[in-house]
Amino acid sequence: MLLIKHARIMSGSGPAIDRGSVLVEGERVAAVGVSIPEPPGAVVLDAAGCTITPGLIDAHAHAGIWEEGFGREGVDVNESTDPVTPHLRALDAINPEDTGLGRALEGGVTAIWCAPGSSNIIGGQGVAMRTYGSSVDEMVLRHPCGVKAALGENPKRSYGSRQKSPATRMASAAILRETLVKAARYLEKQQGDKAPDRDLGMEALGRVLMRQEYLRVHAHRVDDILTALRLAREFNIRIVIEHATEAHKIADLLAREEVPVIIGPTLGIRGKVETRERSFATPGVCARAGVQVAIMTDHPIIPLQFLAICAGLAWAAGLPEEDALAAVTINPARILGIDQDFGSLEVGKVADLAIFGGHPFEPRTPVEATVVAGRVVYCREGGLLSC
Amino acid sequence: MLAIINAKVATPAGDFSRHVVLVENGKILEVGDIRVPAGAAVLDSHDGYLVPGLVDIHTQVGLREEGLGAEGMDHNEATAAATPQLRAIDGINPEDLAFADALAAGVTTVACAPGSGNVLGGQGVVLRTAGQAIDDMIIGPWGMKAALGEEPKSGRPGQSPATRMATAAVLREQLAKAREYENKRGDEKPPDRHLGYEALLPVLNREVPLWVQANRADDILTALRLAREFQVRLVILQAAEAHRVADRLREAGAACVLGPLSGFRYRVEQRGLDPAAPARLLEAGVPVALSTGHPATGIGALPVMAGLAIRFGLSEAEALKCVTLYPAQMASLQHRVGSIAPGLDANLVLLRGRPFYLHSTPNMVMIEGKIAYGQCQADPPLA
Repeated sequence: MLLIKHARIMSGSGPAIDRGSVLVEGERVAAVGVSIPEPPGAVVLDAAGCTITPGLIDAHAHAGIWEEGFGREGVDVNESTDPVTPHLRALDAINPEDTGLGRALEGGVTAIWCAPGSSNIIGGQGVAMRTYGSSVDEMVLRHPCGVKAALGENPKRSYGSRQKSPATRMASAAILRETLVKAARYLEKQQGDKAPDRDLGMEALGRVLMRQEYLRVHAHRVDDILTALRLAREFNIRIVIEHATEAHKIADLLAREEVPVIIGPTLGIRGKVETRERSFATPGVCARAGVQVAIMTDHPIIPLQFLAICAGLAWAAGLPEEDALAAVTINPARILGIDQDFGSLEVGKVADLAIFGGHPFEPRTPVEATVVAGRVVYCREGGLLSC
Repeated sequence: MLAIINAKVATPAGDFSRHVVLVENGKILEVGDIRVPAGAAVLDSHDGYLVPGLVDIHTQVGLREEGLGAEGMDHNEATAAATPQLRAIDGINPEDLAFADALAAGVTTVACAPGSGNVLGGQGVVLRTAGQAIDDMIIGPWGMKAALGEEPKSGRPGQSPATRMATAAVLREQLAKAREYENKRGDEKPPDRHLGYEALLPVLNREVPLWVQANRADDILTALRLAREFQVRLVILQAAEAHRVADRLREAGAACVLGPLSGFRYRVEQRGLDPAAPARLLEAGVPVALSTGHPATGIGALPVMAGLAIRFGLSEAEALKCVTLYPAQMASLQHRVGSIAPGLDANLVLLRGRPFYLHSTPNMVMIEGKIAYGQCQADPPLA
């Protein structure tokens, strides 16, 4: 048993506790409260001056399939040979030894959605996974998890520049629509008397059409977001808007249609025309309108370990503190379908937590320790905790 | 005359003192526990923190424009290995969105220089971040941009340099030829004008530094070798592994511009990047400036870089100097920008709280005595 005491607790479930304790038993949270009696034999961490949050979750990253420090050799993120590759699985390209994953723990990030890139209209299947571990199969939290799609500049630059389709937004939407029609037909046949030949890509899209999985659509500009919404209505599928740079312009609509947004990466520059309107105020506007908001690093664009700062910059631009925390904990957990076990510090949930040496969102605040499934997997050298 | 009152003013010692700052004709006239002179307009800072305008001494603000995609890219003339004749000022658009970001973050001075695709990229410039025309924004020359390591050898397939050997050879040859050019200029029959060699003369005469992008320790040592050979002033850019050769950098009198500390290690040569490097280099006696490396991260994130440096071991006072005084000294502009002292440009930033916290954003940014950002209004003098 592990008792962490004297810390400020931002559990993500109810108001913050100024000075409280978290008790961990095995892999799970056993108690959270102002005063928890010390069980005999428990390992005790005095975390005075620290703040405990749930382990942070980044709902959109490419760690492990875009490895740091390897140049070209470390990039396995975009199979730009065919704009439609729903059969691909990020899982098959993830190197658990990517040092970017290890550094994520130094930033309190314990889980991510790792997905293919955005050069294809349909890039493939993502995976919800831990950042800690040595075998990717043991790091999986949910697989398959979501199918990645992309609209806007990236696919048309990737293919249009080689005189291939899509070269326009019209073709991008047409390819997505056509593929979903084909998948619907495949699904019909599957449910008929004579099963079709197996098509692994169509099977992946079948789960989207049956509303078991989100279609995770990369879209920055309002017109691209609207195209995604149009397709979602047409096929009665559940979608998430990824990046969502201009979401603040149609926040009410997104709230009404109950479409979550994952906003970012916002710390970098506006490299593209479609990111021209990028602002840290967008998460606040969307949250106020009732949209479910998550914040992404899009690792490697911003390294995972700085996810808390990204939430902080949105906080400084008007997103309330509790919404900023939700944007990197419970909301991504819900989008990934792992919220029954992750995303908040509640009795019975898996004990993934981050212990910060100050306010969790301030750039100057170090992570003192990171706990995954009840085990301290990172402890800052020379830090506040002796663990 | 303008008197800024009720401010906690950053002192050269690195702490904050309640001082009055007098501004006249765009310059700081006086700082201290002084009476507001009769006839001075008064700006009440309401207990805010007054810091020098921040300085980012290595960026491509205006040169690699935001929000325009490929059309906004004027930072790498990737057509030759050495292009010392190029001048950043000919490619900078003052309407780049990044200038407004800079002001909103309290960055009043940026150096803008060509990219690192070429061994010799061209001449940089130090600018104030407010202005309509580039010619009116110039504070002074920056120096010459050079690059070693992966970038110059990988940008133009099939052409030299393709190895680190050739990269060093190109740089050495350019410097040697420039010196020869200078020597021959006094001859009876002087050589034809060569704008590239002319641009290298201020470097050879130690008027401006050679700013060399070098990440791996071996590349940094190559830069030191060349600097010794030609007796030039040296600043290392990016400098991922500088802390491994800190003693040699100190002995050579070289400085380092580090950043962005939030950057991803895209290239093999960036593996050694250590966010604790600023603290370690300063401890070893090597001057350090923190930078966004814009567009590596946005210029608006310069205060975040300082916050990160604090997280990784730097004191708050040193972090402030790494984005004000030290970069100013690297460009020999400490008599103009980088601190709050009499005689310097009145580049002042009034913050809502202690520097480098997320909510400590500027209320007011002043450049050379004029309010360039914010709502603050000075009260007219009492009748």
